[in-house]
This record gives sequence, structure tokens and C-alpha cells, in this order.
Amino acid sequence: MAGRTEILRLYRSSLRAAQQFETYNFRKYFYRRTRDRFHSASRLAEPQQIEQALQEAQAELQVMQRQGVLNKMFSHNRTALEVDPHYSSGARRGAALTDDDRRVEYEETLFY
Amino acid sequence: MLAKTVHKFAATHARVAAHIRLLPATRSLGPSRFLSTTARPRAEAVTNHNIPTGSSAVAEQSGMMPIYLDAQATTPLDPRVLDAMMPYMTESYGNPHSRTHKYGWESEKAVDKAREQVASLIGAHPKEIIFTSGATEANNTAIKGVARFYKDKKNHIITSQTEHKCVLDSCRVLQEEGFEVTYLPVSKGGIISMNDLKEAIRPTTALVSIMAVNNEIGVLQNIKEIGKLCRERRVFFHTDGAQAAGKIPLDVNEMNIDLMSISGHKLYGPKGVGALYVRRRPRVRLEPIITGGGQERGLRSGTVPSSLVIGMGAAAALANRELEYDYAHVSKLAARLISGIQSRVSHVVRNGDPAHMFPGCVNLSFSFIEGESLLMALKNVALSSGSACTSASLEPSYVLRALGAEDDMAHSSIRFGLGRFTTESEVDYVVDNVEAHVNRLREMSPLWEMFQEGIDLKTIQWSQH
Repeated sequence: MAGRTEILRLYRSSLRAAQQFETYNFRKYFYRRTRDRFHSASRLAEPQQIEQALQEAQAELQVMQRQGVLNKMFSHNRTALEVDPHYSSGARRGAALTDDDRRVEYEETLFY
Repeated sequence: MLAKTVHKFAATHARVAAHIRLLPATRSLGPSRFLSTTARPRAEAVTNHNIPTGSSAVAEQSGMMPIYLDAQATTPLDPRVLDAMMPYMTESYGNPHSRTHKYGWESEKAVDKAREQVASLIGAHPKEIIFTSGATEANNTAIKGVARFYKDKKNHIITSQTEHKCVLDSCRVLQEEGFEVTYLPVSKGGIISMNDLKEAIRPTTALVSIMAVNNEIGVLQNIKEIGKLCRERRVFFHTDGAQAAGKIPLDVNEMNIDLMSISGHKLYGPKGVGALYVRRRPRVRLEPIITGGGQERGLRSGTVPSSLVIGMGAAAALANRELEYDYAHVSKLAARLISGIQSRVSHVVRNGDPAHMFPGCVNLSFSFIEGESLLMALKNVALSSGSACTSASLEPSYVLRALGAEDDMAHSSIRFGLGRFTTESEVDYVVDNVEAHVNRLREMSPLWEMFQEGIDLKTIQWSQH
């Protein structure tokens, strides 16, 4: 059975993987889902159930890591919510490039 | 040639310039952000979010997308579903019907697994699942197929007035072929009456087709009782479960469903794939619409699109696993949306019977406002006034008409579709926007003014032109 440190490490990596999604709705969903998954699993007592929950979380982490990368490659839009300063807690954390930066860059590559 | 190039140069350059001008507005969000999922406290009242970057033309050009609240039209493809599909869109491209090599075996195995996943979502046997191109094809196959197969003995079909267009149109086609069709009326809440159904069933009735969850108002019919009645009277029962499968618990044996249509893209799967459940015991027989190679037990020929089917299987398995979690989330959001709008905007009516409802579909009528104009005002929110199929016309929705809604209420309805990926902040944003725009539009409306003055609008004799 996995120890506390390992579980916490898995939790942290999962949250980080969820944050990698560029698309607002996916990012928020996977963050919420990861948090709720670990919180509800923390109430489990049976070692077998814990083991199963851990395996599930591990599999989910791998999917999130793969899809986060894929999502980054193809996402190109921001929702109206992210652009609105009143609600912008949902905006991309520390994003170096905005979409418009990226589009300008892309159009420049097409052009030259 | 040269002139063309120069022209292209100028166009691209102008576009780039437009984007550069946009930058300061979108950049003003600040360089870094904490790992926070809660909405920031708002400093001032929200007036109009529609013009964040100046003019609407600029807003359209920028990469900004409206908030998606149209989960009944389609749902986003879940990244976990895409993850399951990827291998079959890249390396494992075999035809699942190829029996002579490993490419085919691999695909066939995965398709069989998907069949099991879809079957277990509705409590069926994998052999009872037939993959189609979508719920429309599934509905067509079920209704036309059953009617035509049993046409020597039976010539009557029962459906309801609030069904999806593809069910109604299939029935229309059968009427032209000589079948008789009964369109059951619905109550004000959108529910069909069991007595009406009992009286409508004849010895010659071949099929009853009633949808589980309505796509426009989210009303949930009493499928279990309808199934029980149909089994007693030995009539086949088809249900269009496109909006219900994966959203609410369904069991074909417990509910005595003989045929059920499911759509892939309504349960966070890919578009272009659906499934039809066809009961084996007692056996339901169909005349296929599409004939050919005899795939899918001969009921739907044509190569099974393995990657799509695998995506649908993964989506079904996911929906099965996440059903309770998603349902709780969607219910919470729906309650927040409804209470938010009703506490801040007066004269809002929710269409459909709230006691029999899938919470993810909230259909509201805003009195004294044209639904289409509110839709246009709310351009930062992706909504529709009814089903996507009929949204091109300005006709009021036939579903709301069937509920007995007055013309003006049917014209002023908007459907809010909530799903797995909708967030609380999005709901708050929508409530703020709806409040602002409803108030603005009502201030412009002469009907609202007259209503405020205490004139009963129903007593007015409008002059005819």
C-alpha cells in the first residue's frame, strides 16, 4: 500500500496536470474532479478500496498529462469569462502568451 | 498574379494590425495568477459584458468564445474519451470486420469492448447494441424498421407531440406509406397522460415511441410506467434516449424498453456515432434501412467506424462512472441559475413540470421580450431558443406550443443547457448578463411599458395589416 507521501505526491501531480489544460472548461473540470476524487478517497478505510482508488487516480493522471499536452497544441480561444476582469480568476495562470500573441505569431509564419 | 499577392499581403497585414491593436485589452488581466478556482469578489455592478474590446466587430475577430450553455445541442468531447480514441485514429486503423489479420482483430476487440460499455450503461446485453451514425439514424431505423417489418398485421404507431423532429418525420413518412399515427397531446407540464396512452393503444398498434428526456424543455416522461403498459398490451416500446442516456440512470429491463436510441455526442463522446438498443427476448424484429455487407446483425450494414464507436464506448463507461457526480454538479448549477435569475428578474416562467425534469435543461420564458433578441443581446453566451434543428426559423417552438404556451411565451423562451464542464462562475456570469439585458430590453419594450401602466395585454385589439 502506498504511503502518505506518495499519495500526496500523486495528488499534487494530478492537480498540476489538471492545470495544464489550456481550455478553461477542461482545466476547471479536471481540477475540481481531482480535488473531489482525492477528498472522497481520503474517507476510504478498506485497503483494497484505497488501492483501487489509487490505481484509478494514477490512470487518470496519465490521461490528463497526455491530453493536457494535446489540448495545449490545439486550443486557440478564450471564453468571454476569462477575458472579463470581473470573473478572471478563471484566466490562465501565468500564461506567457495570449491567444492573440499566438495568432499573430502564426500569421507571421504563414506570411514569411 | 502580382496584384493578387500584393492584395493578400495587404489583407494579412491589416489582420495582423487588428490583432496587435487588440493586445492591450486582453493583456490587462495581469501577468500571474494563483491556483484559485473561486470567483474573485466583484468590485462594481456588472452592466454590459458584450463590449469588452471596443466594438462587436473586434470582439468577433479576437479569439474570444462565448460561454457554452447549449449542452442539449451537443457536448464537448471529453479529453478522456479522446484519449481512448487516439490509438484507433493513428496506428490501429484496421477494419473491425477484417477477419484475416491482426489489424482487424485489434479493432474488432476494441469495438466489442465499446459495445459492452454502451450495453452496461443501459443494463443491456452487448449483442443487443447496434451502432449507427447517430440518434437520428437510430430513431429512423427503430420506427420505420419495426413498422415495416410488422406491416402485414399492424398498421398503427403512437408517439407524442413533443418528440424530436426525426421521430415526427419518420412517422410522417410512414403515414404516407399508409400507416396510422396517433400523436399524443401533453399536459401543461409536458407529460403525456397514461390514460391517453391506454386509450390510444389498439390491437393493430405496432409501436409506441416516447422520448425519455425532452430536448427542449428537459421534461422526463414516466418511462417505467409506459414500458409496463406496453409490455402488458404486447406493443413494442421505443424510447429516444439521446438526452437521457448517461445523464440519468436507465435500465432497459427494469423499464421494459424494447428499443432505445442513444447519441454519442450528447454524452461527451464524438459526433457521427450513435447506438440503437434492440431487445432480443422477446425478440424485436426490424427491416433495415441500410442494407449491404450485413454488419451489425444485418440491421445496419456498412463498416463500423471503429474510432468513433470506441469513443462512444469510452464516453458511455465514463458517464456510467461519473453519473452521480455529474448529476449532483448539474443539479447544483441549475438551482443556482434558476434562483439567481428568478430573484433578480421578474416575470420569468420555467417551462415544463419541475417535478419531472432533468436538471441540466432549463427552459425559461422571459415575458415582454422576444427570445431571439435576448439571444442576440447575450452574444457572450452560447444559447438557443429551442432545438438546434429548428433554431433557423423564427417560428415559435412546436414543443412549447404543444404545452399550451401562449404565442408570446413560446416566442420569449430560452434554453440553458448545463453540463459536466459548466462552472459556477459561468453560471454567475450568465445570471449577471441575463439580468442586465432583460432589463435593458424591457425598458425598450412598449409591451412592458403598458404592463407597468396596468393595461392587460390580452384585452388589446391589435390592428390587422
